Amino acid sequence: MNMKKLFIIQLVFLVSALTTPLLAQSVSIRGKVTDASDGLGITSATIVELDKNNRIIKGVISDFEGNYFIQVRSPEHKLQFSFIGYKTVVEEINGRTTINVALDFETTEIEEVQITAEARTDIGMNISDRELAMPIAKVDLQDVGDVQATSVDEVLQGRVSGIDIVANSGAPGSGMSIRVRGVSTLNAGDQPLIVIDNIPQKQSVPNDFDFATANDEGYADMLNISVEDIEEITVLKDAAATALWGPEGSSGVLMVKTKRGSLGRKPTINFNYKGSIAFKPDPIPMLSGDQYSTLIYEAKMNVDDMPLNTDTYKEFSYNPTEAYYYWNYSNNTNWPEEITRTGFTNNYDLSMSGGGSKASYRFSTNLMNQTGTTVGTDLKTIRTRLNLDYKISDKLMLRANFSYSRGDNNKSYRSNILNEAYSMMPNMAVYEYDVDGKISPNYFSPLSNIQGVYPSMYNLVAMANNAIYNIVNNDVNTSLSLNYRIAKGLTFNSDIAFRLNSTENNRFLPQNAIGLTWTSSLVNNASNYDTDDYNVYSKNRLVYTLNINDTHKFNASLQYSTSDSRGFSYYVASNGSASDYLNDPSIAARYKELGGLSSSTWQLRDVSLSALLHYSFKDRYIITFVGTRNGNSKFYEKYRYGYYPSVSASWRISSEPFMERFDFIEDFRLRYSYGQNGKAPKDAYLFFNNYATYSWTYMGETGVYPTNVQLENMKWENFITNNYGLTLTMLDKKVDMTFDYYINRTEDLIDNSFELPSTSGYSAILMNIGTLETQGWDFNIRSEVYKTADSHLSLFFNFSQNYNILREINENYNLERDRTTSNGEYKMLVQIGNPIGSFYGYQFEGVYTNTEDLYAVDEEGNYIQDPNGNFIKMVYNYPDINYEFQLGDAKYKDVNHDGNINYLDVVYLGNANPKFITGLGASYKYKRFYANMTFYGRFGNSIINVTQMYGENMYSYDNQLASTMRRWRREGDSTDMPRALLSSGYNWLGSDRYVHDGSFLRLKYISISYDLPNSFCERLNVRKIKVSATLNNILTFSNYIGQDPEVSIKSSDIFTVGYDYSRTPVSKQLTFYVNFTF
Amino acid sequence: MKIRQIAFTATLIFSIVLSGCNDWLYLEPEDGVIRQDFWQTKEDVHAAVVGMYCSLQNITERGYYTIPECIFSWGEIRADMADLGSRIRPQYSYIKSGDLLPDNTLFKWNAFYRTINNCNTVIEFSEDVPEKDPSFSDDALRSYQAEAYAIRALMYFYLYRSFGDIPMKLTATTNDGEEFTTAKVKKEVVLDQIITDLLFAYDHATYTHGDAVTDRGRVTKYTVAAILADAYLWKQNYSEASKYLDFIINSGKFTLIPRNQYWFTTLYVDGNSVESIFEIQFDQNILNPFYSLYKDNRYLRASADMMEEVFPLDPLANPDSADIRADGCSYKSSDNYSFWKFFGINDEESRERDQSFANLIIYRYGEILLMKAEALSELGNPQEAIQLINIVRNRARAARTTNFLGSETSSDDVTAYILEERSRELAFEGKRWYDILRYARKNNYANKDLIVNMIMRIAPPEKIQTMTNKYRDTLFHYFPIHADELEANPKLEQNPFFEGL
Repeated sequence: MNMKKLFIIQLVFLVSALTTPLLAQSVSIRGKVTDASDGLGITSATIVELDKNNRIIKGVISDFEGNYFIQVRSPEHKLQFSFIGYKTVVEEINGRTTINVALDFETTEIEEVQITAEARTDIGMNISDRELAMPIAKVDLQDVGDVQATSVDEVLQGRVSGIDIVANSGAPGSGMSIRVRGVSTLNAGDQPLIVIDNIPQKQSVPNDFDFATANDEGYADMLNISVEDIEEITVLKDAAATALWGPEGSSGVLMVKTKRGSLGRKPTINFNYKGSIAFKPDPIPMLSGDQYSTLIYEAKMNVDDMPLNTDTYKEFSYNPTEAYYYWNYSNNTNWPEEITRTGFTNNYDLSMSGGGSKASYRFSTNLMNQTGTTVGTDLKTIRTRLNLDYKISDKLMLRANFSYSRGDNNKSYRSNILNEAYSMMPNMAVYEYDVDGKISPNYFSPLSNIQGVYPSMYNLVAMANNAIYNIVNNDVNTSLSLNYRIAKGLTFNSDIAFRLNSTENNRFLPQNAIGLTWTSSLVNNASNYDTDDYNVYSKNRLVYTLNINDTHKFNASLQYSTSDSRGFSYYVASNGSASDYLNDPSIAARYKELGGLSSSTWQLRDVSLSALLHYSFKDRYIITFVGTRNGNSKFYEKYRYGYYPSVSASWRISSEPFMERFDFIEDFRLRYSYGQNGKAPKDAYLFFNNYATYSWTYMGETGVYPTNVQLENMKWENFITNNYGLTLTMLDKKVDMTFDYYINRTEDLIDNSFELPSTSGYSAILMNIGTLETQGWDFNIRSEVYKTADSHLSLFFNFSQNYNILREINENYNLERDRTTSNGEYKMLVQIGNPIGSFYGYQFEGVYTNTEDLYAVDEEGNYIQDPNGNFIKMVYNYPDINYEFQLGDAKYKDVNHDGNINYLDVVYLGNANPKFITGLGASYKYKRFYANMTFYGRFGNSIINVTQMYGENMYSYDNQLASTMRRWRREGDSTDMPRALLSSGYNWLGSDRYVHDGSFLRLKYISISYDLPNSFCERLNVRKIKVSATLNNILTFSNYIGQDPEVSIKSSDIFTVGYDYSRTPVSKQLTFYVNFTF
Repeated sequence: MKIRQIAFTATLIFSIVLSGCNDWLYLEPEDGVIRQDFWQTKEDVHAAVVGMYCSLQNITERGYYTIPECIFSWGEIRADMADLGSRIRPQYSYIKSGDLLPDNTLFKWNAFYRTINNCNTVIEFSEDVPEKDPSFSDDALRSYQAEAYAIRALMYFYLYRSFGDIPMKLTATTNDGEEFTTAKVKKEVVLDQIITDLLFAYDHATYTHGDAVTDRGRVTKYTVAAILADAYLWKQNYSEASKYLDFIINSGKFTLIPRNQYWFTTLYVDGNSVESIFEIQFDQNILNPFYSLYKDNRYLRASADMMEEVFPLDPLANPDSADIRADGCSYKSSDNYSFWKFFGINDEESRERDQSFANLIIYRYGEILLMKAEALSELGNPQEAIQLINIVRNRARAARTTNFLGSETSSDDVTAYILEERSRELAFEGKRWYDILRYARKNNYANKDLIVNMIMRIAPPEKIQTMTNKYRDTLFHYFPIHADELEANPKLEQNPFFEGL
C-alpha cells in the first residue's frame, strides 16, 4: 500500500517538474490535514497544487502529525487534499497562507461504476457503437473468465460468427488457424491482425524461415497475452472497419482491450489458480506385432507367390537361433501408447489494480506450466503486464503499457510423431535385448531394418524423450500514448510503441533415436535458429467532433502512422558431438563446418495516411467516409502506394417518428458498408534482382547466383468488401441480434508460387493471378431469456456460412492438381465460377470376391466381348498400365462402363470447406452459482483420412490398422477390405473410401462456478472467493471415422484440402479453478 | 491562437513526413546483393561463374532432381545394365517397365534450365564489366564466357539426347515483364546451337586454369573439344569429331592410368586424375546424391545377369587376372551389386555416408579413345580403330572371352564392338542408354533392333509385348515433357508419342 503511494508521488513530482511554467510567483502555504471524526492529524496525506485545468503542478505529503508545507506557483491555483479512504477536498487558495483541512471518511466504497457514456468500442475511429455501420463483433471476457484456455483464440472459438478457428493440433503451443470470413488471400498473411490496446502487433517473418511446419505452428502469436488480462475482444470483419489498420488488417482485425485500473479505487489484489488434467487420447486400434508379421508374409506372397526371404529380412524370421533378432523383433509394442500420456496444466495468475485521483494502474503476472499428451511436449510461459494511466490535467492524459512475456515450448522433433507411431513396426522392441534375451536400459535403435533408415524408421520412444525441439520466445512491448484536448471538440492523440521479439529454436537429433553410425552427418545433429524482430510503430491522430443540438453530429479525423520493422536471424548447426547429451551446436563436434551457418537480415517499412469523415443526422441517418493511402517498402516504385476508399452508412429505422408505436424496439437499423484494403506479400525485396551465394562450394570457392525474377509488376492485392447488415435490439435489450450478408472480392490475388515454365530458370514466381470472391452471411443472436433478482439465463447462438469462388485467373494458371494414376492421389480441380476446395477421385465399391465380377460389363449389364468373342477383363488404366484386376483387389466403379478404370471414372468426392460453422451456448446464474457452456461446430466439410489410407493400404512395411484383420485372404472371402499387396497393385487409389464427412458439434466447455458466501470470506479476510470446475472438449458429436474431425486446412494455394494426419488431437480436459480477491 | 499554431505544426509535420516517404520506403536488402550493384569487377564475374558450377552439384529448391541424379538415371534406367533395387521408387520402376507417364517427376528438367539461366546470366551481364573494371582484360572475359557457353551447351546436350525437341532459352531471365513461354525447336536445330556455342567456347576457352585439379573441375579448351566431338558423333559428322579428338589426344596432357593397385583409387576415389577431362566435383562440403539413393535406399543396382554378360568369366584364366573393371570396380557383387565406382574406397571397402563425394566423371581419356575409334571406324578405317580399342582393353586386362571376333575390315562389326567395349569401360557412368540410342539411330535408325532386342531381354515377361511395341516407335525413345511444364507453358507441345496421355 505504501509502495503504491510512493510510486504515485514520485510520478507526481516527475510530471509537475516537467510541466512547471517558467515564470511563477511563488507563495508559501502551511497547514494541517486532520481526520474530521477525531481531529487527529493524517500522516502521508497528499497535498497537490492544481491549475485551472486541474493539471497537477506540484505535490507534497503531510508529515507524521499531518502538517504540511507547500510553495505554490500561483495564488490563483487550487489545493487538493486526499488520502486513501477519505473524501478528497479541493480548496481555492484565495490569498490564504494557512489552510487547515479536515477530511471525512469515504463511507460508501464505489462498488460498481455506472457508466453513463455511450458504449464505445475504439476500433480506431472514435465513433460510438451506436453509430457504427460496419460488421464488428464483441466478446466480453467476463463471460468466459474461468475457462481453461491458454490463448485468446481458444476463447473465441465458437463465440463469434464469421470466424473459423481450428486448432492446428492439440500439442502445447501449436496455435490455431483463424480465418475471418473465409479465405481471402493465398498469401502467408491470412491470419487476422492482432491489435492490443490500439497497437498493432506486426510480425515480420524472416524470408528464409522454412522449418517444415513452423509457419503454422511456431508462431502462435497470441500466446503473448494472458487470457486473464483481457477485458474485451472485438473482431473487425470487413475492409470498411479495418481500413485504418493498414494492409495487415485486410484479413480481419482482432482488437484486444486489456484490463486497466480505474481512478479512485482501493487496490484490489486478485489471485487465481487453474489446474487441469488433459486425458490421454484414445489410440486408434492397430495390429499387434504378431498380426503385423503375418500380414507382411501374406502381402509378399500375394505379389509373386514367393515367400518373404527371412534370411535377408531377419526381423521376420522369429527364429530363436538368430537370438538377437528373435528377441528384438518378436514383441508386441504399441507405439502410440508408448508416446502418449496424461497431460497436466498449472496456471497461476496474480494481479493488482487500483487508482488514486490522478493515476490508475494494473499490474499482472501469469505463470503457466503445461505438459502435453504426447511425451516430450510441454509449454511454460511467464507473462507480465503493467498498464498505467495518468491524468495530468483535464486536457492531458498519459497512458503507458509495458508487457513482457516468455514462452518456453518443447515440441516433438518429428512434427508428426503420433502419425509415425501408427506406422512403426510393432514387433520391434523399445529397449534392446541381448542375445540371451535380457532386456537392457538402452533404446533399441537399429541402423536399418525392413522399414529403411531414419527418417523412415527410428525409435519413437527415444525420439520423444531425447530429441529436442525447443522454442523460446521473448517478447517485450512498450507503448506510450498521449491524449491532448486542444480545444473543445478537438483532440490530438499520439501513440508510439516498441516491440522486441526474439525467438530461439533449438533442435537436437540424438544418435540413440536414429541408430545411424557415428560417422553419419545426421548423428547428434544440433542446430540453433534465432530470429530477432524489432518494431517501432507510431501513430498521430487529430480528431474533431462537433455536436449541434444532438441533431447534427460531425466527426472528422486525420491520422498518420508509420511502422518500421527490422529483423535478424542466425542459424548454426553442427553434428557428431561426442554424446547424446552434448546437444548444443556450440559444443565442439566432429563436423561443425558440415552443419551449416547462415544468417539473414531484413527490414520492412510502411506508412499509412487516412482521413475520416462521419456525419449523423438526428441519430437516424449515419454516414462515414474513410480514405486511406498506404505505402509499403515491399513494392517497386510504380506500385508502392495504394489508395483505399471506404464508405459505410446506416439508417436507424427505430428512431423514425413512425416507429414510436413499436416502443419495444430499442434499436433497429439497416447497415451498408463498402470498403477496400490492400495486402502486401510476405517477402521483402522482391522487386530487386537479388543475388545470393550457394550454401555449398565448388572446389572450395563460393558461387553467386541470381535467386529470383525481379518483380516490377507486382501490385497490391486489393480486397474489396460489400456488407449488408441488420441490427435489432428489443425488449429492454433482452434480445440482441445482427445479420450480415457480404460479398468480398480479392482482386490481383497474389500467388506465392505461380508455376513458371522452368525454361526461365525458375520454377515459380510470385504473381497477381486473379480474382477470388467470398460470399456469405453471419447471424448472431443473444438473448436474456429471463432475469430476476437472483437468477438469470442467457443464450447465444451464431451461425455463418461462406463460399470461396474463383472469378478470374491468369490464363497460364494450372487449375488442376494431382492426377489419379498413382495410389493415394486425389485430383483437385478449380473451376471459374464454382466454389474452391473440391476434390475428385474414384468410387470404391468394395472388393472383387467373385470371378464373374472380374469381367467388364456394359451399361445394360452385359459382358463386353472383344472382336474374337472373348470376354474382356476389368483393367486399370489401359493402355499405359493395363493392370488386370484379380480376386481380392479393390473394386472401383466403372462409371463409363468401358471395362477400364482410368481418369474417365473419376468423380466429384467432396469439398474441404465447411458448409457452415456454428456456435451456441448458454449461461445460467442462480444466486451464487453460475453455469456456462459453449458448443462449437463445423458442418459439411469432407476430410481425407490419410491415417486410414496408409493404415489400410497394406502396401508397405508400415504397421496397419486393426481393421485390416478382415482383409480378403482367399477365394470365397467376402469382405470390403482388399488383399495385402506389397508395393504393387492399385488397392488404394484416391477414392471415396478415405473421404469422410467432417461435420462435428463439440461441447467446447461446460463449467460451473460458485461464489463463496461473504460471511465465509470475511472470516478469511478475503473480499471474494470463487471456485469452479470446467470440462473441455468432453463431448463431440460426429460421424467422422478417425481420430478427431477438427482438422485445419492449409490454404497456401487455391487447392485447399483437409487431410487428417492424426496429429495430437485436441485434448479432453478437466479444470479446477479458484479465485481470491483481496 | 493556440489552435492555429497546432494546426500549422500538424500540417508542417504531415507534409514533411509525406514528402520524405518515398525515400523512406526504399529499402535495399542488406544480406545479399542486387544485380545493379553486382557485375562491377572481374571477381564478381568469377563468383558468378563458380555459381554456375555450383548449380551442377545440387539444387536449392526442394522437390527437384539434381543434375547428377538426372545424368545418372536418365543414362542408365532405360538401358540394360542397371536394374531396380530392393526398394521401390515408383519414378524409376515406371520407366523401367516402359510406362513413361508425363507426371513422372523424374522428367522434370528444372535443374538443367536453372543452370542454363545461370550461364545466360554470366554471358549477358559479364559483357559490360570490363568497362567498369579496367583490370579485367578482354581475353579473361571471353575465357569466362567460354565456360558459360560450354556448360550451357553441355546442359542442352543432355536435354537434346533425353527429350529430343526442346525449348531453347538463350537469354537471361531477369524480370516479370518478360515473356516466359517459349515453343520447342527441332532437335536438329538444338544440336546446331550446341555446336555453335561450343565453337565459340573452343575459340576462347583457356588451356589451363593454372593447376591440374582445377582443369578437371572447370571447363578448359579440352573439355570443350570433348563435348564438341561427342556432339559431332551425334550429328554423324565423324571428320569434325575426329579433329577435336585429335586435339585432345595430341595435346599429350591426358593418358590412361596404368593398371596397378592404385588404379581404382586414382581414377574414381581421388578423382581429377590425369585420365580425366571433366568431372562434376564433390567434396566434404557437398556430397553427391548417390549414397542415399543407391546405397541407403537401393533404388537401383547393377543387373547381376548383365554383369555376367558384360564381364564374362574366362574359365581358363586365373581369377586374379580378371578384367579390372568388373567386380570391385563397376559394381560390387557382395554389396548387393551396388555401383562401386561411387561407393568404394578400394575394391574391398566401402565409403562411409559422409564420405560420399566421388566426382561424377563426364568425360575421360578412355572414352576419348573409344570415341576416336568410333570416328575412325565410321570414316572407313576400322583397323586403326581396333588398335585404339586395344589400348583401352589392355589397360583393363579385358577378358579373352570378349575379344573381337568380327571382321577387322568391317566398319559395322568394329562399331558394334566399340559399343560393347563402351559398356565395359564406361559402366555406370551415365552413358549406356545414350550409347545405345546413338548407335541405333545412326543412318536413319538402321540399328533400331539394337534397342528392341535390349528391351526384349530386360522386360518383365508380362510386359514384353507392350514394351517392344512401344520401343519400336522411335518417338518413344525420348522422354515425355513433364505435365507441369506443359501446363505452365501453353506454347509447349507434348512429344508426339505421348500426346494422348
